[in-house]
Amino acid sequence: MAVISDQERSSSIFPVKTTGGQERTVATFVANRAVQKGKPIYSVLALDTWKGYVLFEAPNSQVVDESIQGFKHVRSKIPGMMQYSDIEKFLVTKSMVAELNVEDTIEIVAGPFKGMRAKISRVEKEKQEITVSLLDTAFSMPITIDAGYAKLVGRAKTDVPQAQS
Amino acid sequence: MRELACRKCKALTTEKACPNDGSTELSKEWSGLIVIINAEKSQVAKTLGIAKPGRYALKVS
Ligand SMILES: [Zn+2]
Repeated sequence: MAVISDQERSSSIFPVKTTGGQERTVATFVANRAVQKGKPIYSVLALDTWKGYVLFEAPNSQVVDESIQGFKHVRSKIPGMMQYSDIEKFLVTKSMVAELNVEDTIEIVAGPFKGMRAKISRVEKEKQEITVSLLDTAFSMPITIDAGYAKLVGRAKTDVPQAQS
Repeated sequence: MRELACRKCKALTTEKACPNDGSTELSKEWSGLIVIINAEKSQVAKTLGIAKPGRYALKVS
């Protein structure tokens, strides 16, 4: 499998204002059009945290302009662009901490340990933090990370009853 | 037609099973639409651990 470094993934985020309630329609329509016309748009997002906008991940502004052109639910493109890191936090869902338990295996999806797998040794729900030990590495010192940086990849074998919150 | 989200991989489908993994654990409770067009170049795909282009939910409950 080819490993692509962050340097090779040089995309930016372009927010486009849409008619209220039409975010998913716009995302779907423009994504289909981009595929048909071979426009290099990498992804299209219609997030609940960005009501009235659709976010386009693309190498430059021009391909977004060309892809949204003439579509009725598109209001305007916001001038300028955002770095990918500005929207990364909207992708890692905070409520995750409630679903995490000791012994679960997670993948770290942001921050300096991004891409590594780890096993949870402690969950601090109030602080939204978890302490983990990294797998696939000889370096076994526990580290504490933001629970939003964790993506659950494997539940602990034992069926622990879920605590009511 | 209403799309359902796979609880395993979060792919969206209007079929009775997930197109990626065949799972029939589908949920109508999902939020955030993510359309991945180029999974190799997309940083969004990388963050979310998505390897295949397609329509996905950000959150499935
Ligand atoms: Zn699936």
